Amino acid sequence: MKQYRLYITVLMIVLSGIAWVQADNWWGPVHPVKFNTPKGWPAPAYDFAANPLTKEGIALGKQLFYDGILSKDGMVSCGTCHQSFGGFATYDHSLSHGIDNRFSTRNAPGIVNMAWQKNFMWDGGILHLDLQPLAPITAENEMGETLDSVLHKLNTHADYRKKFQQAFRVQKITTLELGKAISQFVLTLVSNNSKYDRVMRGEDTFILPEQLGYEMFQQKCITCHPPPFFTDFSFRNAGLAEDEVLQDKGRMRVTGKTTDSLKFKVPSLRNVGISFPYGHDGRWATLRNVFEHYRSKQPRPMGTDSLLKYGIPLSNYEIGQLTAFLYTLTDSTLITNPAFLPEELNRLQKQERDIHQNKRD
Amino acid sequence: MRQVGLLVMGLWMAGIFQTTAAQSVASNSMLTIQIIPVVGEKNWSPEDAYTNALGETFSIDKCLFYLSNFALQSSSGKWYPIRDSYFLVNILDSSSLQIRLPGNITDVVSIQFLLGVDSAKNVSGIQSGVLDPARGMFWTWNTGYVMAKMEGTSAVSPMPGKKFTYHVGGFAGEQNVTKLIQLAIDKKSTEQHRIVLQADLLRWFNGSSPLSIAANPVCHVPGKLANQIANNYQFQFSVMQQP
Repeated sequence: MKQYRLYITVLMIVLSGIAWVQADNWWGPVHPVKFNTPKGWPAPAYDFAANPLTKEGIALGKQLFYDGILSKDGMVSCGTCHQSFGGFATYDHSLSHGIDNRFSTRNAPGIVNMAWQKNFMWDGGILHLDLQPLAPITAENEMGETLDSVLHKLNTHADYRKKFQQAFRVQKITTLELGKAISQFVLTLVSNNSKYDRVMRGEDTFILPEQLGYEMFQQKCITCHPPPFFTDFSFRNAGLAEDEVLQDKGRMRVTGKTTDSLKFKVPSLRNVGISFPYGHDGRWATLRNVFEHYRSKQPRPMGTDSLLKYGIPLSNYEIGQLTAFLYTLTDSTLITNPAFLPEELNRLQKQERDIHQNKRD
Repeated sequence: MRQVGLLVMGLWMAGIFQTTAAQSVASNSMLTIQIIPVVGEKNWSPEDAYTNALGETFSIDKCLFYLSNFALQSSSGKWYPIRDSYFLVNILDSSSLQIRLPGNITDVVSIQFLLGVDSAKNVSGIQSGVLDPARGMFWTWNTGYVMAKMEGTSAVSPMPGKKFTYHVGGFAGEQNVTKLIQLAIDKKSTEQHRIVLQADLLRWFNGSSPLSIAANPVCHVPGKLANQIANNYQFQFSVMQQP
């Protein structure tokens, strides 16, 4: 009997010891995911050591990305304005839509290849990818929330609590884990498999107009839009007149310098064929409008970038070839990859296939 | 056999107690800095009205600021930086008015701290604890901490509700509003491990370049006005001599 008690005591001590050591693993193991830098691309700017990618973190980030829980009325998610079919930009909307029928003041850019970007937004005001989602979440004309309220919603949500525990080993979700989770998903949105990329890898060939457009692009566009990102990440004044309603001074809002007035970040041209309208405020409906602006011989406003001072000479023929080339930057594998699409869309697509096979549920 | 079981249990419990005891010893050698918000000669109260150097009458509802990167100087002249020392002082939260630093140095002659948050913590992603952006002292649209914040009302303010709001931030280049503060500590305070620091909120308005609520009721961006306010409030601290 006495021996029996001893065994129980020892067993309890051993068990509590194991629990102590293993506490971290209670919520199941995490599965590390390696971030692959495409061949020939520079090293990413993002510090993956501070936020190592895991299968669990990426899945959680994706769920948050497509969940209206981050907005005040539950209707607006990150994916509302960063749509897969628009190359993760806003498809066919000039200004992105927020809660209560409100507009933001800018056109949502495509958020691919974010791992290589050092600052964010059209004015470069945000200095870390993890911090980026906090701006739309708290902007009253976008998601209209407060961080306190979002964290409260997540901390009282059993499913999210469990998933944050699994991915980040935390009992209580804070801003830190929220930012890291969303970054994990966004970092996986790498666009490097367009026709252009396949041609560069020797896996495909341009048709004639694409080839001619590619050559013209190298003469007329490449200074500001160099591959592989098709932006040099600089801030430039492209000579757009200031919108009287928006009164958006661009980079100057961040630096306070008058020399930065009306400067905006050079946008990436990846997926440009599906991310219309164009410009920081989406003022151009088509690529044709953009080319017309650049080839215009009208005098440019003060402060226009010296490269654009006299316009870029472009014939109608050249615009045609350039357009053909720009369409080769559309990455169809990115926009159809189920790993990046909202789960509802994936489910719908599965159901569609069932209908064609004439099956009944 | 039973005794062996109890002995094992006893040792296990003793281990737990020992850890607790070690922690309480460490907390005894803490240096406490007590901050007392005052306005001129009077202790701050949200009900009271005050007058600045330009003759404008106002009251203060809210005032918060970051103090960070503390260092202690011993009588030998050597500075001892205190790692990860970040505090958010809120005049409405009495617990935040007491800063506790690990005080292994018994002969502190002066202290040094940054009024604000160093640039490294501004640019390295989301921070936690008092630096969590959810504390409301962070600009999400233009990365950076609001280093110090004051809100209140004044009859001369042209804003809705007669409000004035000063959110002072900026960490880069000319926009940098962080201020390094150094204060000499009297012997009595050192002996008692307790420094009483007065924060005179009137200094936000009065200084080399007086702040007019009527002319500038709002500051929400880094730049000239933020710098002007920070240049004033950097002199708000004074050490109260222990009797």
